[in-house]
Amino acid sequence: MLFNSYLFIFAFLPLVLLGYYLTANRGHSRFAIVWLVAASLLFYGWYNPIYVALISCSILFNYILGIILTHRKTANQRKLVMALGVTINILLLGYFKYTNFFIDNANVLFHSDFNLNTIILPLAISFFTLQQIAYIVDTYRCKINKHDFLEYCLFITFFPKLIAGPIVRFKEMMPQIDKDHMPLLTIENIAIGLTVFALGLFKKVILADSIGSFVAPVFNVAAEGMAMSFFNSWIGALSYTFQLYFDFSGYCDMAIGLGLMFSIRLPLNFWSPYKATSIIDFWRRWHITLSRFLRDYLYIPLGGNRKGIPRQMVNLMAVMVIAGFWHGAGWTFIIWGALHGSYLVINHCWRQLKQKLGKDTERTSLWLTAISILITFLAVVVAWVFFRADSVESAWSILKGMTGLNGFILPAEYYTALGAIGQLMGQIGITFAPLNSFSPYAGILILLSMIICWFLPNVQEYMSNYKPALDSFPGEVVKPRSWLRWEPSLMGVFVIAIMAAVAILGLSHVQEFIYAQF
Amino acid sequence: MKILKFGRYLIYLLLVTLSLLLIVGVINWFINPYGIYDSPVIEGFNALKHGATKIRKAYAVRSIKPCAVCLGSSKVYVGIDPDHPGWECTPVYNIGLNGTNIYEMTRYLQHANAVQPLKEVVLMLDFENFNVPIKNTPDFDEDRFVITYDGKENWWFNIKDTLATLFSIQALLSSINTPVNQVRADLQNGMDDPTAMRNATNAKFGSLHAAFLEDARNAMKYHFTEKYPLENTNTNWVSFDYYRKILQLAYRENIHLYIGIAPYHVYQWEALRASDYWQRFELWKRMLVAINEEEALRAGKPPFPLWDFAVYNQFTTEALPPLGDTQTKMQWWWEYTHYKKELGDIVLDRIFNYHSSSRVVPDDLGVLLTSKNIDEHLLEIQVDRQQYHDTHPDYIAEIEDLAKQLGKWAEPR
Repeated sequence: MLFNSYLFIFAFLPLVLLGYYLTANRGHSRFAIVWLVAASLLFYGWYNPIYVALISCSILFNYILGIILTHRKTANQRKLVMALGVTINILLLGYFKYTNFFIDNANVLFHSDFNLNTIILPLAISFFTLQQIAYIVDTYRCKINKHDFLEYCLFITFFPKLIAGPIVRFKEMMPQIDKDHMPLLTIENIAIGLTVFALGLFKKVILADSIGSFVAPVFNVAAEGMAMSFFNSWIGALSYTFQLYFDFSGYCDMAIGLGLMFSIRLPLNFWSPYKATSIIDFWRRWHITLSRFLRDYLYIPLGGNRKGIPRQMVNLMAVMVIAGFWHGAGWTFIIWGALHGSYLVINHCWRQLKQKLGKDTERTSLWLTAISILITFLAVVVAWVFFRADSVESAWSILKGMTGLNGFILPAEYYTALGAIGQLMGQIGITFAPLNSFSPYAGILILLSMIICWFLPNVQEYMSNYKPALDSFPGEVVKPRSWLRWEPSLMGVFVIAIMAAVAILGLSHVQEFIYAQF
Repeated sequence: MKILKFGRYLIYLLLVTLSLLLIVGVINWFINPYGIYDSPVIEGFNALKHGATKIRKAYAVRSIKPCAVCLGSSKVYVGIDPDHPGWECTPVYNIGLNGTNIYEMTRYLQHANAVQPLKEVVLMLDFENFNVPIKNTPDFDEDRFVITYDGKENWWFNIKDTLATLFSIQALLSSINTPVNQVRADLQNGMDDPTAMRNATNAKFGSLHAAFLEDARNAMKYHFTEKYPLENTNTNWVSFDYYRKILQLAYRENIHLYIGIAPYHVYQWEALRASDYWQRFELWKRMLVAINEEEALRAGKPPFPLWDFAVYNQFTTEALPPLGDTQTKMQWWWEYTHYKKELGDIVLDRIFNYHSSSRVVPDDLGVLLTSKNIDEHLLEIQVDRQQYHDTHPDYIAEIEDLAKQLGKWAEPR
């Protein structure tokens, strides 16, 4: 089921809240937790019930492993069980996510034609796999010693965060759920949660989906192997940059809001990532719970920065390439990861160099900050082109277009419409030609997105009087000015109600097929 | 600013949100931009409706209850007149659908016949309707028909259309646009307002001739990428099965069905030929004839008349204005694809055997096809084509150049 659907908003959510109220708030804590787990499984299996069996087996397997880990005493045995658990989780993910990728590449390599029916990736498997690996490793590290099956089931399946995160730590969620004392629904939490949900829904349905409509035409043209012109390439790359952010962060806001409605606080996952002043900073702000996972369960076990600078750089590269591959089974994702890996390496070297030269790395000015933000942003945009393109060739083609090597083309209609300016533009080398995939609205939306992302407070800042999410890094939420903070006032009612109504009105469309060739 | 208690905030929030939704719903119901509700019609305010033709036509069929329909692609939408005097009953409704395929046509026909048993149907077919589909167009929706494909009653309340036409931003924008834009729209009979096509300029490409070339280029690009299968083994989609379904329905329900192969401008044929689809185009015509006679035999009735208007004559070979000429219009064609109502009228004259004092129906307008004359007929077209090739080498060269530019041109077999 999708958060942005009538079914979820008007049927599923109210019913689950009601059921939870009738159980938890009436003192039937165990029924409440069973209710939530059952609702989450229904949510998960709505489109494909077979997935429920898969996730159930995975939960059972990991839970049993957790028990074994707590009871085994010798270090070697424990290590073996842990390694086995991690491997099996990775194999399961690998089978569903990567089999086709490896077969395709092997076919290319050996000129063979081995064929397997496309394996359909079960929903959320990337996320629940990571969460269970973290659970196994934490148990191995003796950080977890309480194992309750029902609680564990809810920890994995809790529907607000099941499909796409945030990737919650055991230690973050478990203190909040206890099968004998489930948190009670409160009017306050429902009001705040609903507000955050509405903001997220607006981001997803209105911002992400509107700007997203400009992405596919550009990337499709690139996939056809056509030469990309300057303006179109930038429209495609920037539209995707903002689409992805609004989509994913909107989703996480919805997750946080939903969690809070059930009085469970989830960790923050986005912190205005495009305001980052460096790539290191970017990864503390983008998909925070993933970076945290990679740091704690991959980067640090690989040695982190404890084994000298060359090794640290290798570790950074390795982690980011794996992160890329986790996002998707394709070379474009691997390149995306490698790009970010090299950005991080450059960033770390730069810091080291500045420290060696005795420069104060903390000192900064408005100009320096602005330039840092811009450079970081551009580096991220370039990487996103690989992330979105269906092949390395089409990514190249768009990047080449962005440099202006394929010329600067505007639609032919503009030439007359722009009058003297058009002529001037013609003189400086801008061509006017028939161009179907170009829309001036894209420019307006991109500008609007830049203002939102660079100059407005984010949802957590806006809601900071009530802290709807857990800090992923301690002390990260800084409150903006008081008039930029939400309060349950009449003003708040109108702002949120309008956003909620507009978002709900954006859920369905009157489809119109305008192609009239035949 | 006064801070509210959370309970009060929550109630206000829900009330205001729902009220906003309700207001939008009422506005959209009242202005009724897609014409699917029985709300008041105010001349000069919301009498003319725009866009969303696939929704609108499905609902219009339910309110108008036509006894006869013409069915086909946008060529029918633009060129075939439900008010032609040759129809045997009224009201007649035009179910021409943009970018449609034979399956969608079948569904609209089943729908119309279930609403009101049809007496007469004119079915105008394009090669593309059989080959393009693979999937239906995004604005097509099964849930808006009163019966299912298998002829069962469709119990599924049409919630998707209701939500989209009452509670969506897009519908609201259409509602706002409706009173402002009371100029162009479909005619009540479902036909496209001809003034709309008249106003559509091809300024984008410089001239009508250039627009023809651009359309031919796009069509060929499409031919090359889509491969034009007549069936899809993966989805069990066999286009001729749907054609058969239409015939079976018409034979069973005693509908007077007239089948026509739509007129094509010669540029379209040359584009088909240059992308190596001519043989398949001929095969398609043969199949239409064969299946029609097969189903007639099965039903124990004479075959429905099947006209081929895709032949060489003064209409299909009308000369284009020279490149760069932005003023001259063509007599029979709006552009590359769509013929004008004037040609549609002559086509209907021939189909209905109607004699109008103001029009002459030339003998070479079309040929009534049977399994007996199809071979000879296709051969004649080959001869005509050769003749055309000899007399219009520049036109042919234009298309072949385009195909070569696309890089995949093969010497036609």
